[in-house]
Amino acid sequence: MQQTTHPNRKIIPINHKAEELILRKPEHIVMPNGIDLYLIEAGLEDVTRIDIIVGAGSVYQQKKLCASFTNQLLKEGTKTYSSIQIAEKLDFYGAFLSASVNKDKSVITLFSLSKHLVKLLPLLKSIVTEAKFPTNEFRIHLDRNRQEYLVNSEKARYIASREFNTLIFGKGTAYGQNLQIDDFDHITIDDLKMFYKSLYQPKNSYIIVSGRPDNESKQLINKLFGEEWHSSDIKTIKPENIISSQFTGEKIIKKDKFLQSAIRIGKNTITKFDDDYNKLLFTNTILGGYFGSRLMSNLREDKGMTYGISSFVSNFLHGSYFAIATEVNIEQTTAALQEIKKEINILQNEKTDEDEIRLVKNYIYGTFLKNFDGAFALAEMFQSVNDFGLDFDFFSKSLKEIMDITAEDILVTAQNHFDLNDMATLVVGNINEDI
Amino acid sequence: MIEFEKTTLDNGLKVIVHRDKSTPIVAMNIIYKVGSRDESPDKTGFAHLFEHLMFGGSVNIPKYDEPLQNAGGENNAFTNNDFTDYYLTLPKNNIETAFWLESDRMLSLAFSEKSLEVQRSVVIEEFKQNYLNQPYGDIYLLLKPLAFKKHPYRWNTIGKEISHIENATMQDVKSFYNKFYNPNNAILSIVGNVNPDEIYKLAEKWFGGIKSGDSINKSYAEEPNQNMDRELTVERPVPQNAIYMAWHMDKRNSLGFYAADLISDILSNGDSSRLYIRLVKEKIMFSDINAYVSGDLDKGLFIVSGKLINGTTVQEAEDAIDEELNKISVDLVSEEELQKVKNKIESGMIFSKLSILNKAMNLGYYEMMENAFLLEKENEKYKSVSRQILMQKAEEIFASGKKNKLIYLAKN
Repeated sequence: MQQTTHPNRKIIPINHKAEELILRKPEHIVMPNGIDLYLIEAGLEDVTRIDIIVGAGSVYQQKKLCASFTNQLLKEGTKTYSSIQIAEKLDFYGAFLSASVNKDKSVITLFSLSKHLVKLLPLLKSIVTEAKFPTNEFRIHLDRNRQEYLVNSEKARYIASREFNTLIFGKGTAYGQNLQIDDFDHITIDDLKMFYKSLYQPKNSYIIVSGRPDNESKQLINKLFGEEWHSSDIKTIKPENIISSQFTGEKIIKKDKFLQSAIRIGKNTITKFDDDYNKLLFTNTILGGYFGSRLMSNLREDKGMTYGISSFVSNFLHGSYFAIATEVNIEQTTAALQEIKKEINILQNEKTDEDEIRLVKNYIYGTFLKNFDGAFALAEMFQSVNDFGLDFDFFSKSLKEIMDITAEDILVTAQNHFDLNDMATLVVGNINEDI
Repeated sequence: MIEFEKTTLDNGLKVIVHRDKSTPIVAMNIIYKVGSRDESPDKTGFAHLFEHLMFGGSVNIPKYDEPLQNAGGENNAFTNNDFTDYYLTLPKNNIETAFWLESDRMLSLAFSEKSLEVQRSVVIEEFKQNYLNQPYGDIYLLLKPLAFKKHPYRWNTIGKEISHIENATMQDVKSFYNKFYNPNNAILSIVGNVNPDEIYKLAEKWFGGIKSGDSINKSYAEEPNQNMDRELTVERPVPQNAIYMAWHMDKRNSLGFYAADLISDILSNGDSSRLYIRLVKEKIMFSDINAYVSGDLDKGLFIVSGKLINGTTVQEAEDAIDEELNKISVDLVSEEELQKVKNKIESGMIFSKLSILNKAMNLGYYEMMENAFLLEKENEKYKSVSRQILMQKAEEIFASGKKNKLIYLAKN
């Protein structure tokens, strides 16, 4: 059929009637040993994801590297399986195991085709409950990580992230830890074993199962993790000295041979529980939370100073911070700092126009739809709030509040929460005074 | 099974639709069959520069990103040797916004001088940041011309040199656009909870009026057979010595490709793979080692790359790799090992179906290769590779006189 007339290309065809975001809550099961299991059954493919979340983040460690090494070495050998046996079995069934750790939690995740899950569950149980930390694997892991640390020590971005963390949370605190090269000489296998014995227990963990697990798998999960896994008498470590005071002012780590400066600007901020939290998130999005943000439009699209600049809010169980992060052409460091300050000032003093507010609301709505699309995405979003004792109601409420935000809200929020006098400004590179 | 429907508009545009009822989002993917292999040797980097220009405004729409953000969507693009791919996702109720945006920039770009200037600078910055100033960033700038002497794969997508991009004129850019950015050179695929008939109506409405371009003669200079090993050594400010080796292999749409891909998986896919176990864990010679295939539509490359632990000499490193390649060329792999990598491939395909964007891209990609119906046949092709075929293919690829070796030495 030959098209003979052109459509009107000057007018955007757009439908502002948004689809309602329906978030089905996971099924909550308390297993015989008291451990909480959350089940999210959704999707078209016969795949299953299992997340085991343990309160074994870096906040609990006495020595640096302890939490991360414990987490990463779980799959390198257990009482029942050697490192190579674990690798062979996972690979043979096309399964993937990932392990990650943050300040508060250690997470072990298994992705498997549902039809093979029953064969892999005993392996997963062994990894989580009877890891052995073999000497050879520890040594190889230590060397590789030391090497990686050395390589990263030459990158502005890594130096900045580590240093900024300490500036925000305080030197010598559990949250403010800053890894040094010597730390690689002090960590031992015994440290890992003690950490593991103390924290990797059912009373300190919960489980999320998502996708389409079959009935046999569900029963086996209940048996292995809900009946045959027991907490010991060992008391879990209580973290101490988590946060002290934040550094305020400017700090420069001079690296004048670098081609880029890394810039980090930020401060301690409110948590998810605060009434203003969603206003902060929204205002943050306008400032630097998406590709069309004020910071991106200025520093990248207009001035070409950087490949990327963003701002964000990071939440942890015991604190949170707001930060702006970028790497800029080193010759333009001073100019970049000026432009960032300028954008914050504008947000604090000039009302955002309705078109921009509407665009950001629509954009955020789209990201909500995307973030909750599919069983695995739901598992991740659930984990992000469950740790705080919240559930999906938090997101429904957030979306509603965001849609009601006004220009006045943005002004007030920027004034209250983006005060540069309260911030730490870190530059790793060089400030060129002659510009 | 990914069930889909396909149609072709009168102007040659292929439209593929797969209905996925489980999601509130729609993915749209559009492939233009133009990559760096379509450039002329004195004007390289154009396909990639063009990808940037596509965001600089089209004839009726001054900015691409804003209307899409207003519709709750996100987008990105990439260019490689063979094609340029634009993709976006957005809430289903705004699918027509996507049609409006993509059809307008196929119809005509704004071609402003400012846009050309800005994007030229951005691409030059990208060249510097990702290729010249990044540790190990210029590997392919060195390896490709070593391995290819005649075929256009000899230059990298970013361009052979910065001056080609610096010298690009508005006329060059317009000619490139008129030649390649036409409906008969494009494939549109859509995945979401959409009705194929409605999608066809939208495709006809927005794309139907765009004229097709001249058909393109897709022939590329034949790369002569390699008969002698080639070697290049460079020094760079990096912390570790590295070694990169490349051999020629079959084109993407051939049974030989599947055998080669399985070889690369046996060598380095997963923690139980040969190179990882022997050379990283047992012999502790490398901190990283990888074997992979380039996946080019024309005859591409099989590559092995490794970063040496301080203390391993380059000769030791090369000998260790050669030993493994020799083993796989003369000894049949075990049934279990072959089954393992086939299982991983099958599993990977199933996991990839979880993403509507992956599905949309794959449908477009296979249609470009030959036919979107081939997507479902992929697993069978991998399964059909026997231990004998695999060994013969290894012997063929790693034969003497076929090696291209780049030694990347740490300065100081």
